[in-house]
Amino acid sequence: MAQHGFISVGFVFAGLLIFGAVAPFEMIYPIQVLSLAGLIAIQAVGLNLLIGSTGQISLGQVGFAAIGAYLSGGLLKMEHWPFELAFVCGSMVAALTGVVVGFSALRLRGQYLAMATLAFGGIVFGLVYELEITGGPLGMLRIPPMSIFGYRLLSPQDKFLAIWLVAAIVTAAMLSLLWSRIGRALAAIRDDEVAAAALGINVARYKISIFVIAAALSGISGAMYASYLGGIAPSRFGLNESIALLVVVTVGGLGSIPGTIVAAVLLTALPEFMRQYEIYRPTAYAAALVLLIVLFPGGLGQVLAWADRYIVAACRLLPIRLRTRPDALGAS
Amino acid sequence: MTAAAEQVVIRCVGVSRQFGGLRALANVSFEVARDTITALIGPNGAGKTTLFNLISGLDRADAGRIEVHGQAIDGMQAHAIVHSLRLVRTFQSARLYSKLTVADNVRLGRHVRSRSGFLSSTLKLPAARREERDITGQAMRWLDFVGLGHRANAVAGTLSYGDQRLVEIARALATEPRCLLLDEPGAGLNAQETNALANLIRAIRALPMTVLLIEHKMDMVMAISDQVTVLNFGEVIASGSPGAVQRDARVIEAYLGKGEHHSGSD
Repeated sequence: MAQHGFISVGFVFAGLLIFGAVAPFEMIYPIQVLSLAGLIAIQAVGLNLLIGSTGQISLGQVGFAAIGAYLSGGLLKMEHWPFELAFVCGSMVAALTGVVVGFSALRLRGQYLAMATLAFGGIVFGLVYELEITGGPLGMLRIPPMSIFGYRLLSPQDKFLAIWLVAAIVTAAMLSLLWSRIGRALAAIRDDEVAAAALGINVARYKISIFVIAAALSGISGAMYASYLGGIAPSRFGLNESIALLVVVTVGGLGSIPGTIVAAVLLTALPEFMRQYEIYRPTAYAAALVLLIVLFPGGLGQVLAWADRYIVAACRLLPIRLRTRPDALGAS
Repeated sequence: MTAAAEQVVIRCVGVSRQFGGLRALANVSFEVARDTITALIGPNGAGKTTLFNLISGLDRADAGRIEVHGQAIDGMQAHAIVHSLRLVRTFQSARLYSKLTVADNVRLGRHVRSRSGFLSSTLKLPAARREERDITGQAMRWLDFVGLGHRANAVAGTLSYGDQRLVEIARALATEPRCLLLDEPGAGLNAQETNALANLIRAIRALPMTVLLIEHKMDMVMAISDQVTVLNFGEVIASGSPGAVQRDARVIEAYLGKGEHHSGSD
């Protein structure tokens, strides 16, 4: 299924990447905040695919990010692997863990799946907290930075660009996947599993596959996170972080990848811009969340879908021909 | 043996299914011959839909054996039955994806006959593009077959009830089955629509296709069926040509109750 809002989110990505490329050094603070937003966006896209496309919930999603982060960080720091290899290895092991968890998830539904994934997150947290090799509660420090073909990404701008480039590729890939026979099958599974199976769609296979993709995206995000910060600790991968991801997905709109991206940016930036309100910050943040959900019950994806319609309408007025398939912006 | 097996598309032998204390099917045996229309009739609660669920792999029998094209289906999952045994079913309440377009609903039927994986679908490789064009072409072909080609871009939920049933049939046909199970396709249709449906089912048989049909509209059943099997309280009480079944004393009793009666017309 074509995702509404894919044109608008393209503009969002273009804006972010241009901002990262031209921002002066004094803008370092917003660049850092938005870098973290990019890492959250990568994970949230995976979680939204999981919840929005196959109806599977995960309350321990950052467990996969922890696997990616600690494995990649450890290989970089202790084994001195090149970043590319450590990154791929961390993401792959997170994905493989996703196979195991996804397979178990097949038998569970709703609150039972929520509990099982909560337990998974707890187990990973417990392991990195207790093990010696992960540095225990203090975590792992002095993790080497990201690098690509020997070029070390040291400046905040470079890191920002790398993160958002990955986020853009992930988003484009997932939008393309959803706009295919597989996306159609996922929509069918989400709306009516029995009818999907009766049409010959292998429901179990797709549910596991999406679990693996979501786990891989968390792993990718985690591996970049470890090198981005240069240090990680168990507290970065707790239940709160998994819940925060769930909030991003909800505010973005279940099933809307474009909405997820904008929600990740907004919800990461919002608390930072509220710093001046000090003690009222948590209250103001909560109020903003409630307001967003009340105003846009369909999520921010809804807003982007409207924006897309205006863009398409505007292009019809101007002598610009958008090459869209009839179902691209239709009712489907 | 093989020749006989090829003539019999579905064979149930002593099939039983119990839900707690309720005996939904008891020792049901019957056969569906190739390229015929076989109707499964019986009062509400006779176990017709339960039998469909067993044959299509959505439920498992407690005892007995179900064969499709001579192959036992026990343990096969629903999607594998559609894929390998080429048997597909529709539902009593048309289970369309009401938020998707009519065309997308029928495209979903092509899923099982297409194979582009995650990578080629994401990268939109030439093979995936070609396959997607084929999916659309086939979907349109079957929509035209049921006479709804002009509604392809409509949202499925906005179609009339009768048209939704037709889309569901088109979607099932798009899976390229050799055997089609229709669960009360005539329910809720007016006289004109019922007539058109009868003609459509005949056209489906001529494809050729084996059709097994649950239906309450007796006029239609008697007009189009080659064979009728009657279920009552989970048991087969009669099986034969429409005329013979209509004259069967047990069938008349099941439908009209014991007492005075002269004919079995519904």
